[in-house]
Amino acid sequence: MLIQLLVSGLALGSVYALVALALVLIYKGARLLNLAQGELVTIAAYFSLAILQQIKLPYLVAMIPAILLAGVFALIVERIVIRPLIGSEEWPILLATWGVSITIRGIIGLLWGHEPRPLPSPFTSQHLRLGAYFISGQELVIIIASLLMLLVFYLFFRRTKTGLAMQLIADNHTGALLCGISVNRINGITWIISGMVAAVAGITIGPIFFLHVEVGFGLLLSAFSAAVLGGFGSIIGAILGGYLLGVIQTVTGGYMPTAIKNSVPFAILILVLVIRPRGLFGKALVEKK
Amino acid sequence: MERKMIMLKVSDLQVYYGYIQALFGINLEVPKGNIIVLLGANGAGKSTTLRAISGLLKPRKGTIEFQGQSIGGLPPHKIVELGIAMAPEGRELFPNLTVRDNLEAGQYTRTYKIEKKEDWERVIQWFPILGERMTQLAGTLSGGEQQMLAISRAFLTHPILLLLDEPSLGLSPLLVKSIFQSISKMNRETGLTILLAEQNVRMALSTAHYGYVLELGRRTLEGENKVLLENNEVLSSYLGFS
Repeated sequence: MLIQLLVSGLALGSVYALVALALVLIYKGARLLNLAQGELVTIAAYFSLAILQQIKLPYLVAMIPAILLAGVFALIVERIVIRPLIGSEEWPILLATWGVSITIRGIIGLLWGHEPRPLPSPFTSQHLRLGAYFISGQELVIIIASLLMLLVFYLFFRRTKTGLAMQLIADNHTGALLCGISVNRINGITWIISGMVAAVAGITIGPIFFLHVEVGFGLLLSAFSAAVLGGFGSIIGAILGGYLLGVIQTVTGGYMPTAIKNSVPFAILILVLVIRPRGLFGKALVEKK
Repeated sequence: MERKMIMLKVSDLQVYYGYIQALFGINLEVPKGNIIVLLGANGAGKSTTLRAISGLLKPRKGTIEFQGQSIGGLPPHKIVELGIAMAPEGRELFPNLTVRDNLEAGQYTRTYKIEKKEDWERVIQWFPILGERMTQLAGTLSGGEQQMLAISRAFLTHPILLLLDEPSLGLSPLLVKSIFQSISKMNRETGLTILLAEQNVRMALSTAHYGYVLELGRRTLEGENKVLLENNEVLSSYLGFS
């Protein structure tokens, strides 16, 4: 039982890790908390649903255009809503991302309706037998796709000039400006990447949850807790925090009443903030003006 | 000074932080190849002036002309591209990256391999300690080493005008002397024009050719280094002599 729970936990954790990573990327790169990150997850899942229905591509193949579309969509949000606000205070930008979140939910409701819809995947009905245990095929898809996405992201971050610029901006924003890095350009790329990272989460978890307008928002709350657990602002922390939270939540759900399961992320959020606000990998925050 | 080409000309520069005015119309000229110093106490507007020139702050009024081109309000990366680099107050290094990564960041926009290598060798020659610290994280360096790294990183963007904001801040007298010697060397060996803000009046004036004194966001005095050094007002205001 524990092994099955661990695998399920890793699958859920993969999704948290991706969304938390997307959240932290934008937080570090563009210095804002993107409350619409969850909707970037949701819309990507609906994109893949549309592609599956309209073009009838196989599920795994349909992922690719859906991920790309989600990246473009994130860039459009950045250009239309966020960029004009650059240079203003933190609150207006935070509220603007919240506005984006509400707007996207409205648009999804208009286009696809408010009732839950299944995102068909051939892997939901397949199981891998491991001795006495069964592992869901879709959970394996989630774990593998997430790892692939993390690997691609890692290579991009470490091996390309743009990735280097992202690292520099994340490590010291002013320092990066002074090295001649165009923050506008890199901000756009950061949004594209976090849109694509979030998309993998939405497209792979979609077949397990039913798709509905609020699916991403729920994930955002958990991913936020995961990022805080890992130390908000730490990229490694966000990823490991995501996996850890997924495993803790699923294992707790396996041994305790399921009603408790959904409150686990919030319990962890509160515990971390009380006991160790900087999280596992975060730095003690010093207010710098 | 009249016959020299003016590289940077700041006229009636006014900068605000929100509603609070920090600069009340600064005028200054930086001739090509010179070291010019901005003197003044905390809050006099030295950093604000440099930050406006480098594009980190937008001027509300006034003009900044660099080689005849108006640059006021341009984004920082454009200004770096035009040839102005800054080692800012607080240094703004990449603390979690190595010394090598920090130096490479300075060359982020550079493409000419030969020039990059020449600049790199110069920096190591001026600040040999950085050569020994290549794999160390920038955040773990001593204050003096961090300052050297900040200056080096700025130099590696291949500027024609280098802005240095209080390079002596928080350093021991011995280190201050060595940093200023290196600044002199950079100017002598490459003809680099340098505009530096300082509170260490004696050290700054012994290095610079010409100085401006700022007080509460206004320029109050200017003159050749020797003239300012002998000016009792400067000494009494900034060194506490009378």
